[in-house]
Amino acid sequence: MASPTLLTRPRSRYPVRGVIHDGLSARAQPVEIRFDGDGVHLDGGDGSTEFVPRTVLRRGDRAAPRPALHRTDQPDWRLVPDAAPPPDWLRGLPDIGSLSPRARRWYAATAAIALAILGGLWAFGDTLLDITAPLVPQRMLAQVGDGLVRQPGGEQCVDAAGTAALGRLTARLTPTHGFVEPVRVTVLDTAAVNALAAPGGWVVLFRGVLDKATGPDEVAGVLAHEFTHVALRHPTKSLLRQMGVSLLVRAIGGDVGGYADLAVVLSSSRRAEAAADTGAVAQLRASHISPAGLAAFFHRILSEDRAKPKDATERVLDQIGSYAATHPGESERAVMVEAAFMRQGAVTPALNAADWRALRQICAVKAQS
Amino acid sequence: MDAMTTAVAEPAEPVGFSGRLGSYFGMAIGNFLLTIVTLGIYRFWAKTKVRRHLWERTTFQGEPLEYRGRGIEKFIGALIVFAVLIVPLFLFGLVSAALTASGNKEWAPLFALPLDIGLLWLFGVGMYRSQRYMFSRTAWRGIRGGMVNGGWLYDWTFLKYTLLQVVTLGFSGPYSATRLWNLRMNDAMFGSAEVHADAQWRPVYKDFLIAWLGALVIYGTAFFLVFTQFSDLIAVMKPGAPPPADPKALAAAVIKVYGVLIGAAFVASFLMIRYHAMLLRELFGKTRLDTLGFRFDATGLDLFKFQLANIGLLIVTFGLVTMVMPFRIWRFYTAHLATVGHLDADSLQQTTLAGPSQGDGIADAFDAAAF
Repeated sequence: MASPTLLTRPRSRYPVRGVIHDGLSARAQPVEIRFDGDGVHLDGGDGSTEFVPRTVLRRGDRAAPRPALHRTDQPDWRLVPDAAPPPDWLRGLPDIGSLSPRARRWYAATAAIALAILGGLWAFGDTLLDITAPLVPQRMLAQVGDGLVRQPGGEQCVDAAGTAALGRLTARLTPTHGFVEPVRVTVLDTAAVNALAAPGGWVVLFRGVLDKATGPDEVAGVLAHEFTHVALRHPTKSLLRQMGVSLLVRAIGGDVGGYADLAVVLSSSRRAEAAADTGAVAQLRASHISPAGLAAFFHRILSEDRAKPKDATERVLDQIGSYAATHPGESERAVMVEAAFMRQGAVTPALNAADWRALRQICAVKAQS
Repeated sequence: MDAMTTAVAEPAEPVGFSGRLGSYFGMAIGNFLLTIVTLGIYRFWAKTKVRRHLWERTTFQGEPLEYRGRGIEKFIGALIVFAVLIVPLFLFGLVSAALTASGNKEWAPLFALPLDIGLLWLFGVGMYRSQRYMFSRTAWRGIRGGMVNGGWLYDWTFLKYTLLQVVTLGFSGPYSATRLWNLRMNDAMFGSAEVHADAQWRPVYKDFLIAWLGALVIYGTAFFLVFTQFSDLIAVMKPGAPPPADPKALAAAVIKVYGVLIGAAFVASFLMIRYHAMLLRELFGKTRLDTLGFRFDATGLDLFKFQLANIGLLIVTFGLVTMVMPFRIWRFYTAHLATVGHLDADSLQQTTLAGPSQGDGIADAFDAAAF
């Protein structure tokens, strides 16, 4: 318990002197104070006396350099003794900060509601997104997606034979009950080995994937992964999360809340990637395509990445990356897909030889996006 | 009340501050940890504790100030503002994102501009209401402060002067700063006493002009450097440009560009220090509470030393000093602030202004209040 500095006087004499600020004017009224079991007796010295019952008295901020007594019936009233009240008398006197039972109930209810909302978002945020994502108008998503697809840079590959082959591969990977929204697949003439799903049913394949792939099954694996993102409405959900949940957490939590939010976004997109991998394997099996292609592709990308000479900074970044990455580590994926490979049934190549050749040449003809 | 004559000749009495860094630091550490544990929600209570700590150790004419705000008020205030703001912000964001994304770039500013102006407007309201809340929760000798308006009218002036600043490349700085201070302070009361402020822009203009011209030259040089030395980088940033050939070199260039711009801002802000000290002296010096005047005596050199020490400490303590920064700023201000003349405390009555029932939510939503 914090003891006010005035307590350290050798021996306080009671009654003590002090002043009253009555809260009506700034004039300080000097008084002699007698602390009594039932309250305080105040003697103004000019014959004016007052008794304040202990029930309305409250102890002021304990950390304050100068202790003061408040009263609940007159919020602006202050009694400032020259010496601290006797410790025996102070014992059990409520602090001014302590709430009335009614206020306490009110605040507790507010806090409970706020906590319930936050906790609910934390626990059921994904469910909420599951419900809200289908409600976003398709037109709006298409517009957002159209713009995003143009942003990565590079031209769209539109060779007729390649496009036809890509169409056949897409058709083969389409679930029997179709997609939740019309899927549009496009190839961008960019060397990056990557693919992405954007709002509005867009799936973008970078030319780098076609260059790196050794066969059509590998491309089919990557496409199936992105198609699962579309099927699970991941692009829409991430758009909503980015705009809604992030705004909420950051507004209430300030900077610290922002970091917490980042953690949520990172963990949820890791889950999304894992779900897309699982979905991709299931779809590949349904389409009678070997998941070995997906496994081989991830495996090769990973080992190439490992083989590259790295400096110390890059190694540290890799370490951080495995914790903070929005994608699961390639090795985690490879393990998962290879396990599925063990259970595969009868399979045929994802594309015939002619279609595979055509798909690899899709960037022979380009359109400015 | 008009009592201009009494305020000037009388001796100054420094504003007292008995705060100790050690005890402040102890509180700040607790605040910091609790804020982290509660994912930032504790910051409303933390800020309240900081204010109470500083106020209680500050004496004004020999009597300490008292801070009566509560963390819960600030929290609820922020919740209300948040509830009101979230829907329009979300919709605006969605519409302008859709416009930009769909390639209708020429339409996007039509939506982005009102949003930015709206936010700027809200920021002004937030500043005013933050001061209103703070004054209403500040007491001295049992008497509370207050503001006569809600800030909605003040804000159009705030917006006007801020846009004027943008249009004039900051040239209207002293004019805007003094006018806005006067507006805010003339709305303030302490108990039955009115606050009067009559800060003028002319006395500070000479100092400002030198710094402003210097800053223009510095920024001009910095931007010239960026545009001539890093033209490759700018080409990459254009929409539809091919991806960079060497991402590492690009990252290095980006860091250099930021270095140049931050360096320029740094030098320019140090050029402005003399003016800022002058401005503070003018603002406080031309403000009075009824018959009681104020005096702020920090020189440009004082402010320079203070800022230099802050930066030095920031580096030496790896940023840990930010935890005690409110204390350092408060101590600096109180050390240089004095009251001049006399306030008739016996005739000072309690305020009749009703304070806001909840906290300064707008400023909190932006996390903008200094203390």
